[in-house]
Amino acid sequence: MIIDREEIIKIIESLNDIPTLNFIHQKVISVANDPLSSAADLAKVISMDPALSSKVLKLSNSAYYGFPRKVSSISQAVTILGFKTIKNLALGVMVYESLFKNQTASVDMKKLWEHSINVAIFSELLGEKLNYPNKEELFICGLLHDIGKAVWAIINPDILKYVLEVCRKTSLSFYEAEIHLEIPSHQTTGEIICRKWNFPEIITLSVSNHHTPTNVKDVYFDIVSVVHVADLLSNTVFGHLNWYPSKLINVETWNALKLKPNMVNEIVQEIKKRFESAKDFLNM
Amino acid sequence: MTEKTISYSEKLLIVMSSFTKNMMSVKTSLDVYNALLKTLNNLVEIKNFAYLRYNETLENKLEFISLSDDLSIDENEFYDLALWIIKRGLPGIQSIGKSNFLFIPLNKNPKILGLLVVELSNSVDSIRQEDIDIFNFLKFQTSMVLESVSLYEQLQKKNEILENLYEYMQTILDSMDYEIAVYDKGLKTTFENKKFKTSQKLSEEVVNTIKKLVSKTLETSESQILEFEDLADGKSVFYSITTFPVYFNFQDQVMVILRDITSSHELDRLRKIDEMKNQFIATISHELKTPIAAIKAYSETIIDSIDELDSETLSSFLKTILEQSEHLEQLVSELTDFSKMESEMFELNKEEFDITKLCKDLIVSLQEFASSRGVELIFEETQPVTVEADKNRIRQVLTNLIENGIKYSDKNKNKRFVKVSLERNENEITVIVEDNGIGIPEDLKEKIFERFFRVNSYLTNEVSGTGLGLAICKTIVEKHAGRIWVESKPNDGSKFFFTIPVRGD
Repeated sequence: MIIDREEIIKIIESLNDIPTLNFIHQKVISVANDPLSSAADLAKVISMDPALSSKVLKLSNSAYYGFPRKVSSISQAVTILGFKTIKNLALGVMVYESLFKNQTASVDMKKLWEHSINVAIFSELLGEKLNYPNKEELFICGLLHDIGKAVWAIINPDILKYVLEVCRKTSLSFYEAEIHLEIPSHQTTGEIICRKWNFPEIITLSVSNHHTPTNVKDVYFDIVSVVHVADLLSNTVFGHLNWYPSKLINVETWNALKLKPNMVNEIVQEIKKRFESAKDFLNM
Repeated sequence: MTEKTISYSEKLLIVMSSFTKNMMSVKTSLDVYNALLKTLNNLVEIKNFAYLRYNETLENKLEFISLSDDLSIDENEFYDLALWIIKRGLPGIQSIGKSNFLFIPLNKNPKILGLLVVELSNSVDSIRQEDIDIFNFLKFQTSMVLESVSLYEQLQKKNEILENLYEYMQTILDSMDYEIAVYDKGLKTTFENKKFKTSQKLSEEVVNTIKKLVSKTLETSESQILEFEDLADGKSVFYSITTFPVYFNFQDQVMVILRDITSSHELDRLRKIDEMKNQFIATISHELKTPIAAIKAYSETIIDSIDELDSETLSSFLKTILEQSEHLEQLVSELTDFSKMESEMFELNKEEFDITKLCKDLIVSLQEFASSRGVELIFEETQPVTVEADKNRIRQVLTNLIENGIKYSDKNKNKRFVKVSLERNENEITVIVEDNGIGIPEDLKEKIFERFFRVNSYLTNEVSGTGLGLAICKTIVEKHAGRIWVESKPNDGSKFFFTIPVRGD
């Protein structure tokens, strides 16, 4: 059941087929990446894409944020929910539109998206409990961590099907199967698309190392660790959703985050409630 | 608002140094809010502000600590928004009415501390991503400082309460009329109340007694109580010492309560005297009635039947009347003496006389009385001894002692005696009246010399008397600068001693 070299070369070449973002979305990312950009700048660029802005507005008004008024414009959304929240919502919508929306018959993209939302909410909640200052970034990092799997679904659904088949027949997790088959892992494919789409470093590192958090150094280690722990905990809480998750939490990350068992209890109590309030993210 | 030319890192540096400088001297929660506001001044144009504290018990959950005079916010629009911001924990800008308000929540999971609200005079559009990043950064830093300051404030409040409590307890302890102190293992005081501190008069003996009792308390871990008489300073002071083991500062210590109970002792003594007086009156009326009744009865019989009585019977009746009259006279004279002594009108008429002769004469005159009770009177002859004293009073003492010896003779013994002897020392003469009578219990040896006390009221009612005899003896002897005491064993007999100086003053 080993894929031959020729096949692998074909796979790697096919990575070039990763779709490019349209002009407006590229502009959104460049505004989002610029610390000097103002609230008005971000509102303006999102508003250029009516579909994007209506979706961002819908999510801004979702029960997940629970804002006690109606958010009636993108610029209001930016000021009250925060620049980061809105830019990340925009990124989320863009990624969903480009990679997750097109269901393939061979794999269940809906379940993968659900898992992504779970990890996003989980990461943000963990960040809150740990008093991590950048909880909005944690949300997007969690949401996009498995973007590499979605890339496979777009460029070569057969490979994806094949990896899942290996998982089913062995006790290997999805990531272990990729390594076993000596094909580029979803960490790698995810990294490639992040770089291609010019995503912020914080997202790119979470995507490329969420199974190998100890490869990440310094300031980003915490963020990737949170995503790693959130990924595994959410699998425990919500089930594996047919995607054969890893089962072991990296001890070093666990220790670095100073998580305590009672903290995990609290989080598990709260996470289901939050997930209920995030239904709008499921049906974008 | 920052100029376009300032870079992000430059702006961050300005904010951070301003923040550090402003936070450097904060002491209260209010200071923390002020420092944050000052720092924000580097980033936005501030029109008005409000500081709020989170309070779970309030209906609105938020209370204003301070706000600028011109601030007006529609409360209906304010509280739900403010609470949402606080719960979310991220800074945000929202327009209320025509103004834009920047909300900076202050919380450190899981604690919600408060909220800073700033009314902006500049346009919201110009707020940049980097500004919001800095707001967030300031929110985290300020929350940490605020938490520490709040804890410090709570600690201070608690300290104040403790201090008040300490003062309160100290006042209570100081207001007590007892000396209270706490001693450590080294027998040094670690606490003294005001009375103890100001009390200079504690004699060395008192201090040593306290220390002994403290040591005992430490050894046994049990509370101790002791009453003792301090005779330093020449007057008698009664103290009651109570100790309690206490544990403080990881050490066994002892609390000592020292009370001067002299006045309560004196009260006790007076109460006893009062009791004795009551008893005395009851006794004396009975004692007086008996001879009067006898005299009256015999006299009536004689008057009624003078013609029928033979001279022998008449003589016997008259003798009884005489005896009873003499007894009555003795009682009355004792009472007179006693009242004289009480009112201190008692004076001695001193003369020189031979005390051995006095003894001899008395033995003879009491011989008849002794024989009637079957008691042998013995006098041990010695060389004549001349003393200068009140002869009548000394006779009274001797008579009393010898009569007592006869009265309290032991009927169960075949041979009963009262023996009088004299011992000459250098400056004084000791007179000893010894008997083999019923004796005096140990605990009553002192009491018999007290006024109104009678052994017979404890032992037997067979013997009559006022109960003043020995008290009078004691007063007479002491007036002569002598001493009187008794050695006795119940059932064996008693030995009374009294001394008088050979040369009187």
